[in-house]
Amino acid sequence: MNEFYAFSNSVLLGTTPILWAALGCLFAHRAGIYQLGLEGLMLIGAFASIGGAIAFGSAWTGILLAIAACVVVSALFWLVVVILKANAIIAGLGLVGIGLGGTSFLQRVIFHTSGAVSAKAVIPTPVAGTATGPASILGSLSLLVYLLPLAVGVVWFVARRSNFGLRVSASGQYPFAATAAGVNVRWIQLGALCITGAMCAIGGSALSVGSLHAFSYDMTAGIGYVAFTAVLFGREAPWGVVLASFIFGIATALGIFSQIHAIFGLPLEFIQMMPYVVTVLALWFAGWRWPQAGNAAAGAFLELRE
Amino acid sequence: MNWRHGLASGGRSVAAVLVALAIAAVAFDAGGYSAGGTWSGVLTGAVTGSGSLETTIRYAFPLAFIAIGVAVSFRGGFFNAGAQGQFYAGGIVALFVGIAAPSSLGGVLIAFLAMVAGAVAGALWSVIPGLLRVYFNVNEVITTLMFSFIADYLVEYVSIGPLKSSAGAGQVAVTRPVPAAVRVTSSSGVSVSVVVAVVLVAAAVWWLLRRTRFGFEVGLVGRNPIMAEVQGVEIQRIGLATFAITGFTAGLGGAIEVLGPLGSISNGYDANIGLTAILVALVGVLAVGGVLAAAVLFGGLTAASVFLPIATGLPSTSLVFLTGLISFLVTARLGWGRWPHEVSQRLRGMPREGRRRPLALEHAIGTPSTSSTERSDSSEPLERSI
Repeated sequence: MNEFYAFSNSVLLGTTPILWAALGCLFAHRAGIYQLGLEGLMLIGAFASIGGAIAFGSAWTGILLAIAACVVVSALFWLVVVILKANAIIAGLGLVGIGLGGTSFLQRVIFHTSGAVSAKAVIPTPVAGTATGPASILGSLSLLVYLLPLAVGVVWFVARRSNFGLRVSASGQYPFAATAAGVNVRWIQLGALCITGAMCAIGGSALSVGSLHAFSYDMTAGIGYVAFTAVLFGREAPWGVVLASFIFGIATALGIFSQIHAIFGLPLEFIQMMPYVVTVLALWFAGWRWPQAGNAAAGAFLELRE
Repeated sequence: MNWRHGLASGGRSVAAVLVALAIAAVAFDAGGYSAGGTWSGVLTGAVTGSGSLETTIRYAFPLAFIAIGVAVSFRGGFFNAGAQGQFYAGGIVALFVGIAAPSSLGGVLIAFLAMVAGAVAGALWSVIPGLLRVYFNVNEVITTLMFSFIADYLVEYVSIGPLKSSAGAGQVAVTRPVPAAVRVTSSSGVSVSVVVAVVLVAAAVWWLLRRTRFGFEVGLVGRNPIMAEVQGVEIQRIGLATFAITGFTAGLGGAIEVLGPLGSISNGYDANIGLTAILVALVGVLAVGGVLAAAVLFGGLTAASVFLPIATGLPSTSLVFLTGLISFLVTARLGWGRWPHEVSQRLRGMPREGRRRPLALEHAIGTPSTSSTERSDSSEPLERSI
């Protein structure tokens, strides 16, 4: 049973950053923008929250700083993609590079190191890591995990029940109709992208001040892309995204788990590949099961042929 | 493509590169690395220093191989973003063939076999996402990127696993080297055989794109897939072929990188080459000549990024920042000119305005778009695509 508790613990741990980022990306996606730069935003968030936590001595201030930084970067992304009409996918890949290289550069300039930067101020963990029994499921998980149900509820309400959410969907699905109805599509897209940025910042913070208490180069290691996939696989619906994120979280936890217990006798690298393989399989399943869902990046043409 | 349009859009891309360089210089300056020092460091590392030009060319080769293939995919509107993985797949297989082949075959033959095997491996690594894309409508950006991550771990496995060199090479794990007879270049990375290979691949792709029915159909699919379908083009076949070509050239580049300058595989080698090659393809406006020129430009930047940490102490990851910045800006419409942007044009079909447009519907009812210039672009005659 203890194994099960430990496993659930690592599922929650692995799902948290994915889910925060994916819930944010949901808005960009519904607004019709492929925000592929989640990875970069999460890195910026992770770095800014650690930096803020060190500078101000409070992890919450660090998260606020991270949100501010990511909102600014998201606004720049909006400027480049919506106003200057750059290709969203290429600009998104660029954002990942900016996040990777920029955080590494700032790490060198501010902290004079290329190793890990750790902070003493962290997000409180209501249940200690030493807890036993069912409580150990929540052991040493930060408050950002506890905030997730609330975040899911708010995202569901905003996306599905609010005026803003409806405008976001209209801007994405049929911008011309939205424009005709008096919606300023560009401003709505700016709002959606900024929400994405803010939630990616929290996702990145969940990794740094939330669990590892440190920042290191490329610490997200593809989580941003996995979160993007969770939105595709969850078919842009809040509950679908939650389910998809948990599937990827379970894949991550299985990797860690089989690593510790040497279950399959596979080399470590093959176990570490698991989340990516699961992602490809999930996308294949989505494409096979819901061919109309618009999974392909290269436009809607295969959809329209039907 | 009209050469004047090509030149104009190439000029735009170069302008984006210059803007990115300026922003990066300001950022580095603010971080305490003086802009003047950085700039002279770039010049020394890429052009004027002793052996710098050779280093530039050495880094231009793999970029050219990958980017030529990437350009074929992009022309077809297929966003193959996983050249990194295909490059690695080619390198790993070439290393295995190079080490395992019996030396009685002779170095030249083994090297040739290893290159072919590497290219085929790259093509297979690319065709799997391609199959998912054309038959299951699966987002190829994500799957190709995921295959790159998987290849990253394969490289890690190979470098610390079965072929690990017993001679410790410091902090980074490295494999046994390929036999000297199989190497196609010395560690300088420049030799006649590699030049011949680049010229052959460039000529073959140029001929394929400009002089064959296949090339015409690729342009047609990239430009207007619905029309291509109506004209009887088998989109799925074309799509698979473009994926295979991209993987083939990237795999060949990877094989030559391992059989040439590197001689062995170390963990995380050339980690940024995939994204850089995408930029090379875009800055080179997806035309073979442009790609070769852009490869030299980015080869120079890579050479500089190797030199800069030594000269100025700038972290080597600052190149990642710079390429990211270039990628961020390269397809943006900087300036107010009315020249059609060929590159983004070819990448149409992707939601490049940041929204998913129902293409066919829009064409059918002629809904006024928010950007009138773009509409006039896409309704231009098709001759421009060849």
